[in-house]
Amino acid sequence: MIENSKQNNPLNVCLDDAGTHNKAILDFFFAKLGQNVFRCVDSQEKASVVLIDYDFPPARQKYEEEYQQWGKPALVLSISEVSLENAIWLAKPLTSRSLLDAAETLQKQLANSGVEPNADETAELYPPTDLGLTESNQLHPPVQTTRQRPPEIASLGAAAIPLVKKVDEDSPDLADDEPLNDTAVTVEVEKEEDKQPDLSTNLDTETHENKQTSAETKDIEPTPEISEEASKSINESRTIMLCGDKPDIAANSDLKDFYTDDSFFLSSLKDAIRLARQCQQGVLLNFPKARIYVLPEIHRVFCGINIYEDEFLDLIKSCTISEGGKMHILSTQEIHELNDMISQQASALYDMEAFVWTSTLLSAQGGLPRTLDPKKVVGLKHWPSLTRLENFPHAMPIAAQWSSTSMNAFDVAKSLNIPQRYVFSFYNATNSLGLIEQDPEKLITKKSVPRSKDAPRGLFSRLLKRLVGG
Amino acid sequence: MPHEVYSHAYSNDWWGGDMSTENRKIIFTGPVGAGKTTAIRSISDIEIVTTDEQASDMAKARKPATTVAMDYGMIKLSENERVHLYGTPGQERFNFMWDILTEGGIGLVLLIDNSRKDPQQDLKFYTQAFKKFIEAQQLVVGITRMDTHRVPNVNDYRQWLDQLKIKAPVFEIDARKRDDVSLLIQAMLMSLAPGAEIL
Repeated sequence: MIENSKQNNPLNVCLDDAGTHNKAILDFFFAKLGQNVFRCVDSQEKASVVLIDYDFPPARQKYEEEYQQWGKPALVLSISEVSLENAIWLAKPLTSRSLLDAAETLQKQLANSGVEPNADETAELYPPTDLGLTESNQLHPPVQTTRQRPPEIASLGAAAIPLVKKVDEDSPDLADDEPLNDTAVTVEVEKEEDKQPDLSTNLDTETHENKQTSAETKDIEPTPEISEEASKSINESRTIMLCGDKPDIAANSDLKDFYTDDSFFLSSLKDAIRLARQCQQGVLLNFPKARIYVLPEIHRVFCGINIYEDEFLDLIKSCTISEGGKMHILSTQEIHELNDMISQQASALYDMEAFVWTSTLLSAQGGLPRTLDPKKVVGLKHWPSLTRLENFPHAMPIAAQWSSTSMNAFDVAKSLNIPQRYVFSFYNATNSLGLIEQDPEKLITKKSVPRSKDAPRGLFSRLLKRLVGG
Repeated sequence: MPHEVYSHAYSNDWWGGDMSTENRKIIFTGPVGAGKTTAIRSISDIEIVTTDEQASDMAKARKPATTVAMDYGMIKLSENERVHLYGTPGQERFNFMWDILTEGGIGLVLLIDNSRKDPQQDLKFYTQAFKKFIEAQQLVVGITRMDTHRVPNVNDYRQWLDQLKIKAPVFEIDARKRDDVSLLIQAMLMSLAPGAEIL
């Protein structure tokens, strides 16, 4: 499904001088995203482009003594900038974007010179004897193209996304912080409240990504009679939207009513996230009604439609394979466009887990995909981050139960005495987040010493009541 | 229901409880500036007692005042039932306080500031420092300042806890929000007593 409008002739490259680590990365890249752009050959002679790890002394020596004189364009991998004639420097660590950009440059360059980049006879076009650098340079003018080493602060491709409005470039908002760690991404999500040092003022910083209906936020206090009733009604209808209203069934009965077909929207979303994570680049998922941007490095998804509104459910239900679902890595221009959109609509930036969670629930509405067996004993590897996910009844007790003991979904519902649809919804959503362990043997068991007393469940229950607002 | 007195050592001690009062403790810990005092303030029924002093060392870079002995708050369930909330001082040089404060506690809330230089190291340090307590009771981890510092993400913390062989809920929280702190403590209680009903 990856959109690939630039299916040029692939460039022949040999990975013998790329180094083990780079070779592993490139093999992976060539098998997926780069499959239409690069092709591996078994010797540098057959390659149309010399690819070497310039930080690896033997490879560097070979290049300087031999390959350079062939006159083939080169892709030079190095952690520090390399400026060589007829060579493109690719900063390590490699990124898919820099590889694709480099390939595009090389293809143009080879096309201009009339060379077929994938022809095996390429080597013959650049025979060692044939090359005087001058002539070669006429064919391939000195490229001197260098790629900036990507900032260690992860960027979304060639252009870093400030993600929402730049606050003030001259006065970074880090004065009271220690230096960021090398891999940290600072996302200045525009929330003025966050900048206020007064920590005693609270409850007014919630964006709509932070779940639930706005009626639940504490800074909105409509008249109690109306708010309570309206809020209850809204919550109930939302719960049905998320978890459905199917009645319980016997564990030995036919489960066909609980199985749902995989939603095309959800499977496309998962594919986009997988792709984005693999290449650590922003990915655009295109549907007729919405464009969804998956931004793995900041663990966010940008979607113009509010996922807590009915319109989002309409989007999920309306997506079909014949209408959209194409995805591709963001181009530099798209990154800039996205940045503008985020500036104008910061609330459309969702936590990735929250987005997947709600999308999964709305897709299944209390049902289960056929890949999940409610009779199979499974365990919860990790709790979902329930503070940032859309809540539904019993989510926390289910998490606690399933985290402490591996069991099947029917037994979880039975042990907690709750409707099965909530357990199925939890099972499905946590599975989408990769939090379910299908093999309970692999679960980490808590190292524990025997407690001197059992948990005081009565007090806990009263404390829980207080905490949930009773 | 029989009265449960968890620890005689502090059931009639310096906060004025008597033998008929059931007292429990929840401990909040984490590095300087992670939001321990704020979290306790968010959830406490009483005005919290703090021992803030003007910061004089590295903590000064993060905030002007820091806790030097402990923070104290309380959730009063009834005349005879109280849950005491203790915040440890964040600076490591006060770590002699930590064992004292955790004595008799039911669980540990570890708050990690995601904007710090090495949150993984913080996680390691505090889980190691409270190792025995965590093994005996329940740990929950709240990650603060994720709104401005998205990396590392919650999943990274899960993996790090796996490496440490620790099983604990990890939530992104805003220590200023009662709901967030409340959910964190609910997760602790439910982990200690899965299936506990809300009475």
